[in-house]
This record gives sequence, structure tokens and C-alpha cells, in this order.
Amino acid sequence: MRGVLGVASLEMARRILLLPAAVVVGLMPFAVSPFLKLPPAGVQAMGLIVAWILVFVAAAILGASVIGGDLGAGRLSFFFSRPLSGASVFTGKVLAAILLTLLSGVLAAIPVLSMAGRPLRPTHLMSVSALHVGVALLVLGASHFLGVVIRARSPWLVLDVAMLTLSTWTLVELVHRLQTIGGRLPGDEFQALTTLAWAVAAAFFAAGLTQVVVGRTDLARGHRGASLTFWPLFLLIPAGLALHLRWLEGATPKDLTQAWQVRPAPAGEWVYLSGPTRGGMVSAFLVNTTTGAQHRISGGVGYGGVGPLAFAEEGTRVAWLPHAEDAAKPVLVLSDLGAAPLRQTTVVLTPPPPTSWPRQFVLGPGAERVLLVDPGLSVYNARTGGRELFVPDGLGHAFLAAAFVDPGRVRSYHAGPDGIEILEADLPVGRPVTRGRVSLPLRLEEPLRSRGPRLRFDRDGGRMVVLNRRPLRVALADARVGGEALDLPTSPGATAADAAFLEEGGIALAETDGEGTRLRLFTSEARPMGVVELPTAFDAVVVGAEPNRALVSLRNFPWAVARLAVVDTAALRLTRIEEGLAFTDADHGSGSRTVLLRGPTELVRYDALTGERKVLFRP
Amino acid sequence: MSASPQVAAPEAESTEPPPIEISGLHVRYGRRHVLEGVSLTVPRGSVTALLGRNGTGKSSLIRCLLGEQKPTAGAVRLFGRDVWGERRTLLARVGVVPEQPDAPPELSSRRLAAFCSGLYPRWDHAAFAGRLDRFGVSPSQPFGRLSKGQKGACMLALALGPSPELLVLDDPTLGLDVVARHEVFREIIGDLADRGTTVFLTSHDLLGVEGVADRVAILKDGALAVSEELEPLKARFARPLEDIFTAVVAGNTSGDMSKKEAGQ
Repeated sequence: MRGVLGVASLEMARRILLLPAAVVVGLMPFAVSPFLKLPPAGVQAMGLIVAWILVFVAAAILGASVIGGDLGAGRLSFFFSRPLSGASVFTGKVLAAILLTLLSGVLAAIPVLSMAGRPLRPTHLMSVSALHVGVALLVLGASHFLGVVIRARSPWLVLDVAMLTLSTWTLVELVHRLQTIGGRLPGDEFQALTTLAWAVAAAFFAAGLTQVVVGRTDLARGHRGASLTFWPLFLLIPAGLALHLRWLEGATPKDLTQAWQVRPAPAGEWVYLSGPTRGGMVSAFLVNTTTGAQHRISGGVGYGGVGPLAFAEEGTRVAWLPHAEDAAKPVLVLSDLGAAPLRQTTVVLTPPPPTSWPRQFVLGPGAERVLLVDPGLSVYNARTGGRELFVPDGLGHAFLAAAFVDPGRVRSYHAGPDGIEILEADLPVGRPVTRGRVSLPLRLEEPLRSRGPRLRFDRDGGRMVVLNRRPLRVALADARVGGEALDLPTSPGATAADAAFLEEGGIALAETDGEGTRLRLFTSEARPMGVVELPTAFDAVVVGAEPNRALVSLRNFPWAVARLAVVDTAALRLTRIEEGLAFTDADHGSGSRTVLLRGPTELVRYDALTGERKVLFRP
Repeated sequence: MSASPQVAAPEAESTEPPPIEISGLHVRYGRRHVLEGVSLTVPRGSVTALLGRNGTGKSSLIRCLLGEQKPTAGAVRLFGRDVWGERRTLLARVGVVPEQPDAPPELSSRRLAAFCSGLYPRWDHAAFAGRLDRFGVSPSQPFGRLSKGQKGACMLALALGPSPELLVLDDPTLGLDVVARHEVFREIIGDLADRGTTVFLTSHDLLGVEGVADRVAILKDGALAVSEELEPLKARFARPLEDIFTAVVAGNTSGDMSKKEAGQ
């Protein structure tokens, strides 16, 4: 210790002029402020920036010279011809360099921190973060290492260059991979960077210690020792990152801490799930709720979940739009869940659709085509990625919905203030032809996703319920040829409503007004059948139907516990209330496919007819 | 056993390991062999001069001797202990004057002495100050501003400050004028010989060496060509050291000197 302190004090004495120079540098903002007309806060900010620049410059200069300078000038032998261990020489010199570096910063900052009206407070110095200090140490250690490497010019330089190239490439690849899967470094970003800075600085100091202890005054030998110490330590960083990535990518549905997206396939047993998993990374899965098979699917760059996802009717093929790494080359992923192993194809959508997150995304029959609504209507060939149809929105008009009539024909609903135009187009080369109109005043309030009119279709797509939200109006219309719409009366004070078709052809309309929530039932000709009172809910959505059953999801606030009301549409009574947020096949609301999300992650397959519940998994 | 004190003393001395013991020393830089199998023992109290032409490995040998450089092969022992492994302990007994004065140029002799005095078990402040005074070195002058001779003198004063048992001088008179060289050698003779300090020096100043050394070792092509006491060597060659050195580096180690070899 005596040796360390002796060397440190000697080194500080050698470079003591740095400290008064730091004070002079710290006064510079005052000298230039009259010319720059800086306010006091500006002077202070400038002073702090100058102080930090001084710290990093001092770290670089001292790091390169405190040992390397003596070594290059043949002066390190002065220390090695005394009874001093190599560790004492290194530690003493580095300790002096660190103290001088930090002191120079403090001295440079004191003048601006002591400005009149802005007195120096301990918090000013406390605000110096571990990251700043870590980076300063990193600069010091790195410049020492570089100083030795450059002065030695030994054959070990080849190793350094090779390892630098390899480790840089590896790190870039790993970080890119981490970004691609939407993963994060352990802890928050600041902590991760701080740890990284201190770890790399520690590796440089360990290398420097080896260089001095083993190499002593022999530059080439010291270079070899430093390189052989530094690179294995440094490679622990990519190795650790690779392990972290492996851990993140090994997430399973059991690691879900919350289910953000749940979508059961229209048929079969597959369910799409996404939510935060290991390390807070958002992951997306396709899970077979019978066999337990599961696939983690890639959501694309920067996001672990996927964007729009759609199952085909048969429930074993699924398509989604991952977040594109290159916005000019968005891709469509098509996956065949029936194949073992999972077969997945990716095609580039050419030309790119107007948005990567459309309001509607449908995978057509046979998984041959996909359609996207928003803005305009786009249809792509799912095998080639080529666009087969694009119809832009007209002025004051917007496409509300579209559907495949058959694999080669698409029907769309183009709405304006006067009503809805029904268009059909044959694929792949057809032009949209008007098939009919629904005369119904609509308000296309932006954003259409949450405020615009909604269309709900029956199972064969022959009829539709049109919901205009403001003013609230619900109407029944022919979905093929249009014509006059039949109003479904709602309570005069109703603020929200939702409607869907029942299995028997009737219509269930859920509404909420100042007096409560209820389900109005209508015949297929829009004649009132009866009313069933429901527990009051701010948001009541008809999510599905079974024979003689209507399923209504009830929520008061997004964070409140959701419930599912099961209504006997024949007996006109509420039969059951289940706790949980209900997810059904979004397009047709088949009740038998209902999945309930209870709590943040417990998923239950629910049979609305029998009330039977099957826990799919409970992470 | 009336003569036992006189007899016992040499026996006791002989059991103590020599200050310097080099055996089979090899130093190689890449493919270039600088020292090849050098073995040398320096007796306690002797003044041994290591001579050799430039590039024969003298400085490499000194670095190995001080534990600054690890030999490619062979062993270097100071006071019977491995210098590479126990350098810090052993150097507390050694004073070193390097070929190039290597003290930090920003600091004064006084500050350097303050630093060094904290590292050794003993430090003779008065002797240090006296030597600086004798050499005309200002103790407050930064080392970098001293003349070459003053730097050498300061280094010698620093080396002698701890009253070392072994003094290693690597060409201490290099670049010094005649007067300064004379001062250095006079210091060695006058100050150290009396105290029984072992001195190991390298030098190209053969005249000066001849005046102080009692043993001479000559390196030739990385190997030790001669290693013996100076007087018998001079007697064998019947020539001054300078001629002996010339003959040895020319390949004559037997002492059978022709006129041409002797430079006559």
C-alpha cells in the first residue's frame, strides 16, 4: 500500500499543473458569455459540458501517457529498479490518473456551480452518475490499452485487430438480433449501459495490470499479456449477451406475465397469444390448446408481438404482418400449423401497403390471398406477395370492411356521408364493380378505428348490422346488394351499443344508457323479440353466439374486471355471468371458440351452452 | 584453533550466496539470440565490470539482472534468490544507475529522493544531500532541466541513498565529459569500496573501469568470452585492459597476443 500511495503521489505531483488548468478551463464560460450573450443558466450548462469534456479528454490523455508514456520513453524502469511490485506501479499510476481526471472535472465545474444565485449544492456533485464515471474510466483504460498497443507494434497487434473485428461483428449481430426480437438488456437501459461501461473498464484495467506485472518494462511482452487478458474478458460481454438472447428466445407461453392479445382460430384448437414474457420482452405464440403444441412466432423488428394476424377459416393456417426491418419491404408471413414441422413462408409485399397496421386484415379461403383495409382496400397474393387489387379511399369516403366472397372474389363496403357502396372485384385482375348501396347517413369520424361506423356480418355474409356511433344508430341491411336499411331501435339515452347476429338469424343488440345495460333481441326481420337486463357496464359488446345463446362482454373500465354474460335468447333471461375477458373469433363470434382471460394470464376455454370451463394454461 | 576468527570468517562468507549468480542465461528477441548460455558469478564486495561491444547483450543482461525482463531460459539470482519472482524484496538491497537517466523529468531531485526514501528500509538523507552538493546538483531543479552529467550524478545519488549491498551501474559514464566520468568512478572507489558494497557495472570507458574494477567479464556474440579477476587477466595478456578487450572481441582469449592484435 505504501508503494501504491508513493507512486500515486509521485504521479500526481508530476501532473499537478492539470488542476489549475482545469480551474482556468472552468472559467472559460464566464469569459465567452458576454460575446455569446448567454443567460446564467446557459453559462452554467456550458460550464458543466466543458467540465465533462475536460474529464473525458483528461482521461484519454492520462490513460495513454501515465504508463504508456513512461514505457515508451524508457522511464518505467525508474520504478522497476526500485523495490516496487508491478501491481503497485500500475495501481499507483492508475489511481493518480483517476484522481486527476475526476478532480479536474470537479475543479472545472466549481466556478459555474458557484455562480451567484446558483450556489453549489451537494446534489450537483451527486448528480454525477455512475454511467459518467464508468465511461470516464472506460476511456482511461481504453486509451492505456491503445497506447501500449500502438507503442509496442508487436505481432500481437494481429490478434487485437482480429479480435476487435470479431467481437464488433458479434456484438452488432447480437444487438441487432436483440432489437429484432424486441428484447431488452437486463435491468433498465441506464443500468445496463452503466454495468457495461464499468465491466469494459474493468477488463481494460485487468489487461493493464497484467501488462505491467508480467511485461514490466518489456513492451512486447506486456502487449501480449494485456491482449491475452483483455480479449477473453471482453468476450464475456458478447457471450453474456448471447446467453441473455438465448434465454429471451426460449420464452414459452408459461412465461407470459400478461396476455395482451388473445385470438382463438375460427375452427380447430389453435389460439394466438401475445404479451410480455422474460425480461419484459413481448412475445407471441401460437398454441394448440389440445395437444399443447406451441410455436413462438416472430413479430419482426423491435417488437416481440406480431402486428395484424388472421387465421384462415379452417383454423390451421395463419398469416401475419411482422414489423418490417425495412419499411420499403414489408413482409407477410404465412404459416401452416397443420404441417409438422411448422411450415412457414415469408414474402415481401410489393408494392408496400399504405399502412403496416390496417384496420382489417383477412386471410382468404385456402390461404391464397390476404386483404387489408386502411386506407383503401388492398389485396395481395399470399404466395407471391404481389398486389392484385388496390382501391383507394375516395374524398370523404372510406372502406369500412371487406371480405372474401370466395377465393377469387372480394366484396368491400365503401362508406360516405350518404351511405355505403357495396363493391365486388374478381381477382387477380378484376376491377371493382358496384353491386349495391345502403342508404344510411353515416359519420366518418376519425379515427375510424375507434370512432367510425362498424359493420357486423352474419355467418354467410348475406346481412349486416351497421353501427353508427355518433349519433348512435343501428340498422340492419342486406350485405350483398344493399337497399333500404331497417333501423334497430335503441334507447333514446343510449350512449353506446353493439350488435351481432344470433345463430338462429336474429339480432342481439347490447346498449348502455343512464339507467343501465340491456340486451335487445330482434327477429331476422328486425322486429323486437324482447329485452334482457344486464349488469350495468360502460362497455357492452356482443362477442359471440351459440344456439339460443348470446354472449355479451361487460366492462366498466379498461382496468376493471371484465365479465361475460350468457343470455338465453329463447327464454329471454340472463343465465350465467362468468368472470374474465372474452375473446372469440373476431369475424363471426363463434361462441364455442370463446376463450376467457381470467386475471392477467389464466386462459380458459369456455362452453357457453354447458358452462363447462377448461383451463388452457395458467402460467 | 587460534586462527579461527580469520579462518571462520571466510567460511561464513562462503556459505552466503553471492550477490549475483547467473547461470545458463538465454535471451532471445524473436529469432535473434542476444544472450546464449551466459553464466556468471559476482563475488561479494567485488567491483565487476561487464564489457562488450554495442549490441552484445549487456543491457539485456542488466534488465534480466534487475528482474525487468524474463529470460528466455536460465536463472538469475540475487543474493541466492530468483530475481524474477522476488524482485521487489531483492531490490530493496540494490541500487541501480541506468544507462539513460530515467527519472520523471518534471520532479526535482528532492522530490525524487522523498519518493525513493519511502521505498527502502533505510535512507541516508545526509549522504544523498552531500552527494548532490558535491556534484553541484540543485535539489530543487526539475530533473529534466539538469545537464546530462547532473542527471547521471543525481541517479547515482538516488542509487546510493539506501546504502545498497549491491550497486548495478549500466554504463553510468555514457555521454559524460572526462571530469564527470572521473567523479563517478571516484565516487565508486571512494565511497563504496570501503563499505564492501558489491558493484556490477557495464561501461565502454575501459580506462575508468581499469581503475576501479577487480573483476572483468567480456561478452562476445552473446556469450561470455572472459570472466576473471582483472589483475591475473592483465598479467596473462601483459597489456592494458583496452588492448585486452580488443583482443578478446577479435577472438583471442588466451592472452597470446601478436603485435597486430595488440595494436602495436
